[in-house]
Amino acid sequence: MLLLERVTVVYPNGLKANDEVTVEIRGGEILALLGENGAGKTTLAKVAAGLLRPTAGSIFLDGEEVRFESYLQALRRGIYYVSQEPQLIEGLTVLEDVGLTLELGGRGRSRGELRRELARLSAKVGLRLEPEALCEDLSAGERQRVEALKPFLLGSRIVIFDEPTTHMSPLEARALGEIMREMRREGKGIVFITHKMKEVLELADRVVVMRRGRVVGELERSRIDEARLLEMMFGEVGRAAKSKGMREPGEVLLELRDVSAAKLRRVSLRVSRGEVVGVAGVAGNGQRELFEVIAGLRRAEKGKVLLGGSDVTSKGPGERARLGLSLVPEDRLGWALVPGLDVATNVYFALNHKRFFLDWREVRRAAESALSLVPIVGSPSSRVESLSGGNMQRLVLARELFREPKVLVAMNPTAGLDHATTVTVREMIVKYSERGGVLLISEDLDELAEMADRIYVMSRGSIVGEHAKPFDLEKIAEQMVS
Amino acid sequence: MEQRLGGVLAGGALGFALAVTIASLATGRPLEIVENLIWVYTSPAPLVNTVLLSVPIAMAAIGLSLSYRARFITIGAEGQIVLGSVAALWATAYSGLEGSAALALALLLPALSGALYALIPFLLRAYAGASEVLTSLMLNLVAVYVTNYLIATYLREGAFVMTRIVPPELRAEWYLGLVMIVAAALSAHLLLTRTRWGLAIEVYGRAPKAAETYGYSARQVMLLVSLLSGGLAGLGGAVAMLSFQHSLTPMSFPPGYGYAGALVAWLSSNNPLAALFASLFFSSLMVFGRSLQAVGVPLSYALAAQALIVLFTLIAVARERQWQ
Amino acid sequence: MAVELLLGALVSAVPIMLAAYGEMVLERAGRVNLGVDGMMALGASVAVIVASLTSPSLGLAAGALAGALISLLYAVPVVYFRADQVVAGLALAFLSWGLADLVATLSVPLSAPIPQGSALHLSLLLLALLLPLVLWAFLYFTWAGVELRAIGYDEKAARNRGARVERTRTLSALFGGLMAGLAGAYMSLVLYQGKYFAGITSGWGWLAVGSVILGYWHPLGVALSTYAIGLVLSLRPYLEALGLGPLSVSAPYLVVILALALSSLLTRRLRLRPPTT
Repeated sequence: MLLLERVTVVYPNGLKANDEVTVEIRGGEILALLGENGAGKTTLAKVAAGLLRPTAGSIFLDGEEVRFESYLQALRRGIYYVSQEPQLIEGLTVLEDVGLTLELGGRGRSRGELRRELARLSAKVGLRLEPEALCEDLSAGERQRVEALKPFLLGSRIVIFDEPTTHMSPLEARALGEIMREMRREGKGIVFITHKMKEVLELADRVVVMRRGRVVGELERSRIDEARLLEMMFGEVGRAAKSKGMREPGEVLLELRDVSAAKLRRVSLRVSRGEVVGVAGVAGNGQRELFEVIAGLRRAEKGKVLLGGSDVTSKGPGERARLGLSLVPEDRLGWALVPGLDVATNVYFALNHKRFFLDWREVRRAAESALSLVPIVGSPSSRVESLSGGNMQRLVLARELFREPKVLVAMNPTAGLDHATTVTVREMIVKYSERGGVLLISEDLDELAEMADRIYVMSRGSIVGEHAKPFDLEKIAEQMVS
Repeated sequence: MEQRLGGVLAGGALGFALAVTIASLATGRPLEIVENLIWVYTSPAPLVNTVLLSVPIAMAAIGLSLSYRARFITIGAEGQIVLGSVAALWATAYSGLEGSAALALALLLPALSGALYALIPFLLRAYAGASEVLTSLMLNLVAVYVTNYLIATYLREGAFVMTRIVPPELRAEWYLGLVMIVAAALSAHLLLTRTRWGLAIEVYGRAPKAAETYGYSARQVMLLVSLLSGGLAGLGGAVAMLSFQHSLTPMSFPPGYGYAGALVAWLSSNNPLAALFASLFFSSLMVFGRSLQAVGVPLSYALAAQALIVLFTLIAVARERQWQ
Repeated sequence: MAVELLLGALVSAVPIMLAAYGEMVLERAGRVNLGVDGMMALGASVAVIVASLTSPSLGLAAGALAGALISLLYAVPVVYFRADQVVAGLALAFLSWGLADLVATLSVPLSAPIPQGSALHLSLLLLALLLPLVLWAFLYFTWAGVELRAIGYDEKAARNRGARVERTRTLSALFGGLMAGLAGAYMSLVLYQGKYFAGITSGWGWLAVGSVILGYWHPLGVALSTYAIGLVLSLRPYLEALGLGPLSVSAPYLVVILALALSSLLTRRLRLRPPTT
């Protein structure tokens, strides 16, 4: 149905995200596009969906060469792309959101008609849907499913799902799988982008594996096997699985006692010297609020926060930093780092010295010593936004470890990073935990299983479970959606 | 940065040319307009006036450039300047003090009243979350009305609605204002580049969340820039009173120094040193505009010309950004 | 007296209402134009000239058109060049004030204003009362309205989906200019009996911008908030009688500032997310 031929995409920063990629999408088939983060899967999908124009290469739709100038053009030609972050428009109702997509896609209809069709469709795919609900009140999984309904109404022939299960519970992921099978029954061509092996084995009719912008292999259903795929994804080396040895934890460094604030309900947890403590949960279940309460950005309405034994419940972020708290926030640019300032200043400001006059030689020295902790491409005087995402995160970690904190609190520290940086970041955190305590809030259960000594499970703002090694991942996943 | 300068110059030239064209068309006397233009930039009297009028503009712009760097978008300098000149008038003509005591009060009191008035939008923003853009704008009008009220009541002198006059011995020489704005610009520059406060302003303005997370308080930064910009604007109003206004009459709208200051701050990318030059340019436009009153051009023409220059600069700078 | 006060409030509220409706639509599309007060002044000035040359109704139309035209100086930099909307809006206000005064120097004072209570005046009152219903229907019950709101809620997502961001915002800005111009024309032709003078808007444009927030960006809410401001405006004679003199002029501004603070506080307390970026 759709053929992408020798597609090459070079980003303005010189990164070759796709290098002569050729992929064919066939009707009535689920094609899995497998590869680790940064392999170029999303780039390819965006080319197919008209969101990105390729530097070179051609696209053929039913044998005819096409050139999509916009997402809308691709959509009108029957290609629907569901991006990783659910793209519903917060503020609109579900009905309005779906209706707007149809309207702009040239398949507009009246509200009444749409309401009837939605009811019929959601019954068919086994999905309860309140058309007058506000999109912002929907969970990530629900949003993905609303998105998944749109291609049916648009009459799309090709549907591309970009890592749809990232923010989904296992149950929701299964429901989405059903929707994909229904699409296959209708003869649609489905592209399913993922880096999760299990999903591929469950759903795919065919697998295309990408690595570093190239297609490195293609397997039909009958020949799909896990070991082969892994080797293709990561090359000969394979995933360097490193598990750390057990240690006796030392004194308690960070403790939350019955903390309630916004979404958080009576959260208690403790982190001791020498351990990595994980907090698992589906996105949006209070992890951000937890991070903010620990950072001192959000006041605990009830309960206590203790840092190294002293009560810091009413203390601000500055005070907490002086007591040995280091933070690696979720967003790098804008939260961990300040755009528009150079690398050295970005190190210095977070150290928050009280001296009134700045000595720029000292600022540079501080930056250089922090940078010596980790290899970073980029000098202290380069602008921080010119760094790659991986280098930004290395910089943040270097800075936070340079402070020699007692506790390091990190939230999704490897999200969106390439494999090499992910490994470096995880190694740095685990190595640091020999000296202090680490609280790792992550949506990536595999990451937690690899690094943590203990895992708390969070759901709807409460801690619903605590697990010690060896972890029962099934049980944890179950609690995540309780 | 050079790119931006190019955009400013191109946009500025275009806006300027258009403003002159508009005045020529509206009056139908292009020759006199051009004559006036040449006169403004060549004769000593208008040049001195340019320096005099540049003081309130520059003081406002310097303070606002600090404020805008912290993303605190107050437009309140206009009202703070008005209150500053009222305070200076009171200190010199009504307080009963004389000599250096009166002069000291005539600088201290305006700075204080400007800073205090700037506290209102700060408090509304920091404690209620109200947008400082709107509250500060409306407070400008309130300041004008309060001043009119004072002129009509407590400060009224004689049969007409007007005030006493600043005694000649307390008036400032024209170059004193120049010294003051250069000193203010240098201090602001040093504050931004060499001190912890400046770092806090830069960090908070570019990434408020990062600033808070790493121990810089949002309220403290906003309070700091509010007090500084308010105080500077108040001082600007004081120097305006002491050096060229000398008395007050009721206003139907604000005089425009603070608005010009806001435009200057944007034009100079919130750089206090660059703001000095832009202020002189903008005050020359004011002098030019006033010189055209004789041929029927209204007072608000100068502010319109300044705005036109800023609008064209916005487009020129944005175009360059797009080409990069 | 009560009826008189209520009706008088409407008569003075009309310009703020009209201007606020226009600004509200633009803000729902995700942009703020601070130039409202200037566009009003220009509308007031142009309306007087054109009315003196032709007829009052053409004067109204010309004022509205002038507002729409000048709003392009805001729309082009902001929508197409992504310039700072605060700077562009204020610059537009300052420019329009000057242009309005400049245009007025060309004119002769008008002898044929729109009499209060005339059919033309009543139709303007009706417009101010009915427009919010029309806008409500448009924003909430047509797909074009949904598109406009979507752009205001989340520009990026809406654009990805094919929403015409630039077109919608430019049209909204033009509508905002049109309404502000009409509001200004009403001020000079109705409220000031065909006269224009520098500072004629006395900052009512800022009140209009504030009332959009107070009405929580909803057509009916804005109708209410602007009418409330009209009430405060028509209380002025009573305040003046209390001996406050010129100070009473500042009453509406103080009330709006206070109301803005309270509504922001309320929005924060209730954890509401305003329907615009």
